[in-house]
Amino acid sequence: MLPRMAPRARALTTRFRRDIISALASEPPPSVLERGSGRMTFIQPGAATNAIQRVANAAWRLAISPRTALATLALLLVATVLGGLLPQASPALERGSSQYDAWLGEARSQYGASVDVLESLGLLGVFSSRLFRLLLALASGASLLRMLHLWVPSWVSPCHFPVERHSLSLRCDSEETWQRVMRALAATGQRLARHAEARGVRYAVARRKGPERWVPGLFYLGLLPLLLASVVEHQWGWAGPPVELALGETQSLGRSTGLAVRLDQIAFVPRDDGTMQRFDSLVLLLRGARMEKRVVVGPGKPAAYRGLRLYQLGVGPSVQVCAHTAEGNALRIKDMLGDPTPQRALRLRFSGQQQEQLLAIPEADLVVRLLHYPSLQTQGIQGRALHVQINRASDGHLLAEEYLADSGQVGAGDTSVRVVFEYCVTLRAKREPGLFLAAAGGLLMLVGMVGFVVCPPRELWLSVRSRRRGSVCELEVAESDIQAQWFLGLVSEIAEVSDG
Amino acid sequence: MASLADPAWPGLLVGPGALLALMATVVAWWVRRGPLSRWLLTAGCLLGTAGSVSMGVQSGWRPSNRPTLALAATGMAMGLWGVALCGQNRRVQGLAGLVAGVAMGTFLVAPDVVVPGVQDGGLWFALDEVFFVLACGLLLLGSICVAVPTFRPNDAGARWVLALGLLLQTMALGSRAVGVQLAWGAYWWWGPVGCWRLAAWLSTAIAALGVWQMGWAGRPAQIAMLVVTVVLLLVLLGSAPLVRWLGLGGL
Repeated sequence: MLPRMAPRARALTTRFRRDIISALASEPPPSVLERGSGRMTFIQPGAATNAIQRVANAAWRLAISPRTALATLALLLVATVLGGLLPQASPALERGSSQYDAWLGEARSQYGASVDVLESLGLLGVFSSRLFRLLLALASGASLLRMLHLWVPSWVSPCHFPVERHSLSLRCDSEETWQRVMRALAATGQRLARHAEARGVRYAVARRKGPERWVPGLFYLGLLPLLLASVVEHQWGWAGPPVELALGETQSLGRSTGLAVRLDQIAFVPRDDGTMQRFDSLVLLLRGARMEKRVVVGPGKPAAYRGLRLYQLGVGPSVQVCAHTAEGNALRIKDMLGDPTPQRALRLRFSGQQQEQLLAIPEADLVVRLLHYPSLQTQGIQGRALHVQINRASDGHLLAEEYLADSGQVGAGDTSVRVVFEYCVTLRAKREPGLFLAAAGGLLMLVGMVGFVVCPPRELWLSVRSRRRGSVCELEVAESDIQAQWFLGLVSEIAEVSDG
Repeated sequence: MASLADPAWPGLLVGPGALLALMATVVAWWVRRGPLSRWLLTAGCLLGTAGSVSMGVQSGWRPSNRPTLALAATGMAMGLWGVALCGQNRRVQGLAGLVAGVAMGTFLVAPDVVVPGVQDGGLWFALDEVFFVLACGLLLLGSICVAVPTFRPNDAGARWVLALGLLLQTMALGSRAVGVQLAWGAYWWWGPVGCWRLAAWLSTAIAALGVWQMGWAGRPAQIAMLVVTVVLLLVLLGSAPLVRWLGLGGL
């Protein structure tokens, strides 16, 4: 364990640091340097750098400063908390579209007039707002600069974190000490990133070498394709409207696809609490009258076809209704709210906006009213329930009424109405050209994060100077690293006698 | 005999798990046998984990829709982290066993506390919850260690706990993004509960940045760790009920 050699210091303010800043900051632009040598010539101590260079240095330090990162994260946190507290419109809903207006209406019914206030402030689409996009752009810019700071050896800037200084007095001359420093750095997996000489003193900055130097930077690199993917999706991606299908029903996936989809079959395994352990839909993709492909879609199991991906967004209740006379003759039924074409059997969906259906049986002068409930505690039904009312069409007289918890029959005179409980599915087609970019970016970020934990970046500032007998080596390292194994190892490699 | 599909079956695993964890506390604090308490704590937490996993597979029970299960899972995670990271510290193991035992016992007393409407299913969402619970357990252990002077807290420990906690949360968010992409085709659109998970990640990232790069040490580091732990536990236990109470789930 090393004794603390210097009082806790913030940023670089001592003469040592001013010298090293001057030495390393006043070098000529990279194009003038000897390629491959990494060795820079000190121009003049105390020489005033031009204003542009000073501004550039200040901007650079601001961009990679931990305080900037902290501020960015804090602003993102505020936006995220707002997204968790306030209703947010899906990015797929375009402002002014009918779907957006429907969503707004639903929000108003729940939250009242405050929704209009939130909408005027732009708080119903925090993640789609320009301010949030600007924030993401700033975050990506800062990430790029931080990545360059980690990876490009010459892009070193005086550190802003608290540092500790450790001085070593050695009997050997400065050249021998320098060689020891080189060996010690190699032994601890580091190498010089930059070095310079000024007034007989050698200054240098050392960092990790090898893959361990690169891996943490992958976190910042990964953020860039992840954000770029959202731009690609916004420009070239496409999402079709949600399509609700009952069994046997056919609907278009969207005009730009030229495809229609038909729900042919469903297979499900329910749990005791009513949720689905498994729910797979066999759908047919049709182009005109021709079947293009038969695919199986389920929750978490999208299907792909020629650049299109088909997702099953959800499952809802539907029923199949048919009517028979006492002799067993099938009666035709008409949907009074939808397609009025009479059919022998009708399939009807119940959704958030439509929980009631009306049917007519003209041959029996009957009107059937179906009301769907997710559960009906007053009737002792825990799961889905259907309230069936059969009225005489001519005078509205109620002939029969029943609550069904499962498939069943309701009779009214000579007519019996059979109801079979089924399910409908909601599908959506999408084109996602940015998906690969997003996946690559996410993977890089994860690898980079592992790198930060396993091999966090190290930075060591050092100087070697001669004195009358021997030399002095001063090491400055982050306060958190002063007792780290690698630093203790480095010091023991260099030290002969430690100055107390 | 109860079958694997019987909801009572997991109780046959979680119950003994709780007992073993509490026994580990007794052995650590009073009998003072470190290796035995480690063994008991490991066995108890693994039994409890096996019970929880079987519930998840058979009945769809998840920490996100069962707060007492979330508490139990966090306790078990804390117990396992206590064995893995503080294997030589009897006091910490004893405390971890106490928390794990009480948490599992709470679940056994009230297993039917449910947050309705939370129906995210599938492997990737399950992974998301596993990683998040592991992060909660780790940060809870770290917070207690830094808050109680008897456990000799140090800044290096706080740094590593925050870094590892952030990594686990990153893995959780990544799993959630994959799950959401497969379910709805929108890896960036997680809904209100996902927002709270991201808020927890951002809080941890801020604390980790402060401790690693801004020199927060001593009291500031301890406060940062405690705040992050409280945030994570509130998100784990409270985000789904909050979303339901605000009525955001249906929109």
